[in-house]
Amino acid sequence: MAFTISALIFFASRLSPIDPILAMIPPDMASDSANLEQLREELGLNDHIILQYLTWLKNIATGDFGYSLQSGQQISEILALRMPATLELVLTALILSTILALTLGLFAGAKKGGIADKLSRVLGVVGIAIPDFFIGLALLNVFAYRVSWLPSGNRVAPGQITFWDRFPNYILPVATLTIAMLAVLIRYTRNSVLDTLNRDFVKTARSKGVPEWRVLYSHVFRNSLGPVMVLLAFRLPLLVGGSILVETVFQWPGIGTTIIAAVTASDYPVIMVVSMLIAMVILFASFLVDIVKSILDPRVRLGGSN
Amino acid sequence: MQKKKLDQQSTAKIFIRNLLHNPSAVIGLTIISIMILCSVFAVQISGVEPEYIDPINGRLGPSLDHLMGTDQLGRDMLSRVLSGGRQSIYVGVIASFLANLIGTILGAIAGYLGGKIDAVVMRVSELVMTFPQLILVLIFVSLLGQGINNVIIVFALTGWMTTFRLVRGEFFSLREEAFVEADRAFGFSKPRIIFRHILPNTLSPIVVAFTINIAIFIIAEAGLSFLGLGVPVTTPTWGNLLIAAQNPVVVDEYWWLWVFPAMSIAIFVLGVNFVGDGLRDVLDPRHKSLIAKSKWKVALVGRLGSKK
Amino acid sequence: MRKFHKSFGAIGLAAALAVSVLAAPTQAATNNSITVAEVTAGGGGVNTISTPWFASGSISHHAMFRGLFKADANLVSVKPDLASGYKFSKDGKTLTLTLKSGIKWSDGKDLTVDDVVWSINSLLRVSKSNAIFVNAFKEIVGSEAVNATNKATMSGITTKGNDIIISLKSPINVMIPVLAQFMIMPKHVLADEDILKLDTNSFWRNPVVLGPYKVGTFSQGNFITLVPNDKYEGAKPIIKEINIIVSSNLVADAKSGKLDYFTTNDPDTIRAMSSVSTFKSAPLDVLFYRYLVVNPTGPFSNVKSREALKYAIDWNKLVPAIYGQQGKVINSGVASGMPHHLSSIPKYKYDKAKATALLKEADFDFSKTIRLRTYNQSQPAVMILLTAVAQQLTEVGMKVEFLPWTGDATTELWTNRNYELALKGLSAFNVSEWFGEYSNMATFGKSIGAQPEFAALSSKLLQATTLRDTGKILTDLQKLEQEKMYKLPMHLLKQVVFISKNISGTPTKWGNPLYVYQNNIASWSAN
Repeated sequence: MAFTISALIFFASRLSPIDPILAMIPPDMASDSANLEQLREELGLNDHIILQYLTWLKNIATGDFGYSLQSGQQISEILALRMPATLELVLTALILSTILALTLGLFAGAKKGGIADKLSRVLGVVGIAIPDFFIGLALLNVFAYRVSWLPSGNRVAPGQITFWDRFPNYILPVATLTIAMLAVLIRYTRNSVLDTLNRDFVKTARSKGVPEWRVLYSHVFRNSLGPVMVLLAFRLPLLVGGSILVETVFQWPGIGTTIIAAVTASDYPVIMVVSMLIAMVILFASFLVDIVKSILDPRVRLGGSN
Repeated sequence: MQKKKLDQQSTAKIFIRNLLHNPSAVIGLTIISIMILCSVFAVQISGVEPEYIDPINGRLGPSLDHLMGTDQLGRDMLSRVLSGGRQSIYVGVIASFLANLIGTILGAIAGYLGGKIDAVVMRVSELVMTFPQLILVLIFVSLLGQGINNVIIVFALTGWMTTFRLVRGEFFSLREEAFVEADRAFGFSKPRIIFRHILPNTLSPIVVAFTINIAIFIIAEAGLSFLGLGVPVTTPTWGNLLIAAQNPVVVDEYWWLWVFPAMSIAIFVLGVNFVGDGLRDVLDPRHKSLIAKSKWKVALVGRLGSKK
Repeated sequence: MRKFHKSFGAIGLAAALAVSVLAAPTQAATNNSITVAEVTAGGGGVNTISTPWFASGSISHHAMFRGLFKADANLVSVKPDLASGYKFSKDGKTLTLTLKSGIKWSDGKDLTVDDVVWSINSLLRVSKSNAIFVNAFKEIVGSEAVNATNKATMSGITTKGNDIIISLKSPINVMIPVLAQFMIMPKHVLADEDILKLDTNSFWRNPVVLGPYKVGTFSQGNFITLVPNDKYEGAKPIIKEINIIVSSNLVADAKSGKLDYFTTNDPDTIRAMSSVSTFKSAPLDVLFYRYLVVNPTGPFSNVKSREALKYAIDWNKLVPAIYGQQGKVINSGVASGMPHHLSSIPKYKYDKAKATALLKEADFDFSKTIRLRTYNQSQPAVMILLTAVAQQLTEVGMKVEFLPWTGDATTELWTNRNYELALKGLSAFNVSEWFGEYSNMATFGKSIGAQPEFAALSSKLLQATTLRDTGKILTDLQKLEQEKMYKLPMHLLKQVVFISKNISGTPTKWGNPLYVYQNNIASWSAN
């Protein structure tokens, strides 16, 4: 699978009619046409395409990701620089949205028709319908421009040394991503909790007189976790791919903006490595989903008690 | 034969009656119909062509003359938002239809025949799911050029997997049912069994997937256009109108240029989701476990997540 | 339920905390540090300092790099910088430059004539550079021997003590202004590097420099801080830190005091800045051209149909609507109001009937779709202007398809040529660069073929020594341009410098921010 994807990515990126040399150096900015030919030779672009693919594959396997055409930097260096930005953004949002969704979902399920239930229903319905970058734009407009409480973007500004210096920069992007993720998650947890509540073992526990909070915590909560974990596993690729739209809105120097910059500059070595990476994580995530499913599948685990 | 027709008619009647008694479906259908009507009669409602340029009256905030204000060229935003709906809804509906068509056909074939064919199609679907979508879109755009139909093709080719898995799963369970066994005994051809006899029994999840996909594709169109990779800018779509918000000054000072298109997307998608929920309730009276029901949605959500 | 309320309370508390942290006053400019915004390639942050051999003019270039001369704001007259003076021989073919002594690089090594000779030779070895240098240095004797595939040096450059003697094939009048833009680089650091890929060398993340500032902190993707270069021989710069950032919203950052200097030509930003009272602005007439390149094959093969385009579009209404005072409609490479403008060029007032008549005369094929194209990452204002252009062309009966290119614009423009009209911008050093484009075989030549008339006039323009000669040649060039109409000039665009009122010591007259000139960066101070 990984092999097929690598081949697809490589040849697909070569299918495009763009000449990377010309994309880098427009002819009216070239010092000499001989220099361009030399550059083409040095970058191995004159080799046979199969040879180029094999070389690329070999290099990737040995951890040599090559160089960006645009900045000349090692791609591994770019990834090392950009990955933390994306990771801290997505991971924080992932954790926050999960905690919020689980809390809300649990209370919503526990008391159908209560405040938490109403809130989570509204969030689940409305949140899904709103594009995530619109949430970002709206937050920007209000909190960064109207009242100027929060910075409008950038991860680290000059003079920001400690984490607390940088903290304000994270609020808007993290909030945007959290809200965007929350909607689906909340809908999901609520359904999952409701579903668990209808199960026999919960009814049994209740009839046995187990305190309500214990029913909620040790029975409902744990058993509702399964589907939520599946959903989270599906979100894993975001960790490397970043959210392109949210990163664009906030000028976040992460993988998402790197992809867009590489794409507009036809920086195909970067495009290939990043796509490869995302593909690998997606593969890993679906593998993880299978495992989580088999561990948490109630039919497997609760077969005896039913 | 006649009896069958009668049966179908009454099923349809029951279906429509149930649908009209489902509050969520009714609200959704109302929203959708009003918005579609508004976009069809965009020019009549706003009184101006969406392309009409009037630079002197540019950058005006909402007023009685221009309910949604005007853009930098003095074009009426109301007219643009309403007619933008036409293209956005068109993209969503057609792309969703095509994606579902591909998914259904492949799912039916793979699910019924199983074996090697199933394994191959399954592999392909995994491949498409794994392949980073943005890269796929870019390749298509660079090969086919930018255009509204190319966006539709890209969505159809990258969005069929959920329906595929759904239909395939249904076929797996249905192909062992007694009526299929009977069909085989009668010696009916495979296409006839697949498409005439089993397929109608899998329609409900397909219809639900169709509506949900419309919502997903409308949002995806907006995202693509926002990045400048979607429908050509001369065609107003909700996504193209949002391009204005790439400029932070517009986000700050000319809020009406991006809030109205974004709200239109949100409201329409809301409507579609309501209909989807309603349809699910009506078409799925068996009330399967909620989890099992939304299993296919996990996959859907996974796709959505990786798209971002 | 109580737990639920608690968690909400906690969120509220966190939010309140966050806000109180932020309410702390944002840092205003002080002599300790100022912040400038620069546009850099790469997306989402500051990645590197761009090589000044390709594009210069940013504050980081002004602060760190030096050339043999320092240009005035007009970019034409110069004052000594690294060179104490220059002398042309009578025939104008031999140039003698005298290097000052006692100047040191920021790593403590002495600046030598070898650095200068190496820099000039190396410019012809890099892959990407500004055409003004290439055009000037190709006029040096022996330049054709030098390129990336060899280690040759130009025979036309010799040294004698602190003198550098340059022999030219023919006299060129722009040599000194061009040298004032040409930043000298350290041979002792770069000689062993791959010069072909110099623009992507890691050198640019912490360059060895001659200017008053050098790189202090380089936080990749985020910002660069420049600090005084203690090896600089001039007066110590007053400001202790110059922070270079990428701003996601110039106006908001300027308002909140997070930014002290930037330059832009985005009309919406300029409009919004007019309400920021803490900033002063300087609109600058720069030679930034926007024009349409016409594909001479296909529907617009007849020059009359190209002339029709000038009448079919209401330039005088559209350009001010989008760019306000900042855009100036032009009908020639020498704009009206500039010296040597050819007054016989028509004003091309919007006239649909005339456009239709001309199209009819040209037997225009209305059935063909006119493909109007622009760079992928065009500014929003450009997209809006071209949308309007497309609309007005539709009104005279054309079928227009307007799209930004998804791939690389250069390949599309000169190699693929799948367009009828394409937008191009040119930030020119002088007017001759505008006319030189017509005879550039690597670009326009591929589309319109060899242009011996343009080529002859352009090289005469480079050699002209008197104002009268220049005027005469420019008149001929403008006539030729009107006759051929391969480029449809749209407008010039002013660049505006915005600087915080807290900063003093700035030049009384600002120059083109896309080039290097005397902007007194070392004597800027903040109060």
